[in-house]
Amino acid sequence: MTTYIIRRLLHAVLVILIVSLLVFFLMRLLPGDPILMYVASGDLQNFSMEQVEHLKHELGMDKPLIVQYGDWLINVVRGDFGKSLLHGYDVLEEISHRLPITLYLGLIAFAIGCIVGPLLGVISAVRRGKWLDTLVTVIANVGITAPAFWVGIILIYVFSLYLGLLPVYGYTSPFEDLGRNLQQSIMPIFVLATFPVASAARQTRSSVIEVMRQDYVRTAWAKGLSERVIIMRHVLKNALMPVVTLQGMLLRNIIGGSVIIETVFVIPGMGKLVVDGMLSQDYTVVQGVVLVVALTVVISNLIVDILYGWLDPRIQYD
Amino acid sequence: MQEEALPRVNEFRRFVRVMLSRGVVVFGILVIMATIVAAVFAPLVAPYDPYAQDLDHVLQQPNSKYLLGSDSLGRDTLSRIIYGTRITLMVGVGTVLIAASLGTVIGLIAGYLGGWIYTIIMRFTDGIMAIPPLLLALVVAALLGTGVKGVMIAISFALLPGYIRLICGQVLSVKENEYVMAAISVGVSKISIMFRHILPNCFSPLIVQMTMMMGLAILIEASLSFLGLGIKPPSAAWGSMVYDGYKYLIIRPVLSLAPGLAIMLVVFSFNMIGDGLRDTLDPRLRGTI
Repeated sequence: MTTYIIRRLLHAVLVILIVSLLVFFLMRLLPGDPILMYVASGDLQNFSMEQVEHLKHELGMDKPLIVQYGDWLINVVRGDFGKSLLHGYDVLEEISHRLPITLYLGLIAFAIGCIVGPLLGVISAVRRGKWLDTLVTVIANVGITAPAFWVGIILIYVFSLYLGLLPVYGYTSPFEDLGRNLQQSIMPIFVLATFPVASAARQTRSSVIEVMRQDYVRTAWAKGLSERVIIMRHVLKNALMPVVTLQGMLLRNIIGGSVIIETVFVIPGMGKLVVDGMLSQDYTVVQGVVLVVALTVVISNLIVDILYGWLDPRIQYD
Repeated sequence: MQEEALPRVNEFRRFVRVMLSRGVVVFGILVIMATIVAAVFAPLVAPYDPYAQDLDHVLQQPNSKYLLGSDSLGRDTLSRIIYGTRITLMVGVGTVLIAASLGTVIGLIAGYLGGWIYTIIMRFTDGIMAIPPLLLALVVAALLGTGVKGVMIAISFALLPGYIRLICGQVLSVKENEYVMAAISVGVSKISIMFRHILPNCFSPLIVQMTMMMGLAILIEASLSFLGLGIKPPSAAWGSMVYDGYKYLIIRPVLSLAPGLAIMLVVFSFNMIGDGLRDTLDPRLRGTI
């Protein structure tokens, strides 16, 4: 097990290195010179070419790409993500303010996805063909296909504008005002949880149905065990394995979804930061955010992998 | 002892029977067919020019003249939704074709050649997969510039790793088959083995994945357009229509709700067809349905 964990850790480090390489070169190789865009977008439009060159030299952007990458990576490891090209703030500091907000909403949505999704899936599978199954299947399919921003807009229309029950947008820290925070977070969390709940329900349903066809489940029925014991003890253990794998992917989607949710509900998290960074072509910000997001995803995948190895004794560690 | 002959089954008839036996799949097929018709014959089907502004009739309620109302520039919402099918289908089908063809070639090479080529390709795939597809598409689209071409490349890039993994996994299992060994032993070239002997056996899961991914591609495009980093107005992209309508949500909710519903309907239909195809093409389910 220890060797397995060490191997997974090394793999995670390698993936992060590749992500850093991808992010850095993507920013540099695609059309558009960040410095010229910076000069053109700010109040520096009267900059002469000499001044532009000087600025490039100051930011180390006149060095060969591979050297720039090395410098950037070393700085990142030291905790220096650079400064925002446009606003001048420290990128890591900004991220450290915003990441907790994204994780707070995302992890609650994730927890809901982990509990409600499989529960709906099991109910649906056990009552296969009945109205409850049809209802869950319809909800799950709608949840997967409805665009998150659109669901958000419908919720705003119904609960904020029409019924006046919840605030339209904004975010207050739970430490500042918990009541206000809950009011503001209900709709974003609901939208963030829609996809995880729906896909976990679908996955659990098909996986439970498949396991229920197995011989050992038939034996359990033949032994005269009650439905509850069969489902809880015999079916769920095996049926939930693919669902655990799915959770790692779901967390990735939740973090990706925060880009939309934070824009719709005007929440000052990582998603809003990256969208604003992209719209203003602030590359140091985008680079930093994408790297931190990838790091979060890789760490969560690592946890899922280790959990999977622990849950399923059939997994080979060598 | 002679083996008992299996009853001959017409695979095509079985395919059609299973596909059409489920109501939701038929519904999905009908919606996609209607979308294709709307896209091809948009000028004939749409009541108005989707770009024609009528400033005397802005923000109209749905009425007999404007069935789904008109936007802030007096453009007919229904006509814009009908024309929007063109962008939706182009992005959905185009990105999936680009990502699937590239992913298939890369996955074939990685899976068949193995060794360090496999390691490098798969580690890069892991790297790309660590970035949420929407975020990745957002970054690439913003760098390439908004417009259909940029958005299509961006979404293809985000979908690519899924195809590489799928095909690579298939190749790893298919290449162990005896007929592949036989082809190697008689000296068939690597290219020929990859494309003539292994690839055809990867088609079933590939087709299912392609259908499912069309829905995802459409959702990503709509999200990018909604964020203002996708297809820009005045093009009738459904995502940007939802965003435009969002500003008038209190007085004209239909402006946001109608294009959103259109996105959901098309994505739902592609997913249902994908589900149907998966059940029909899954060899384990043969004989049971």
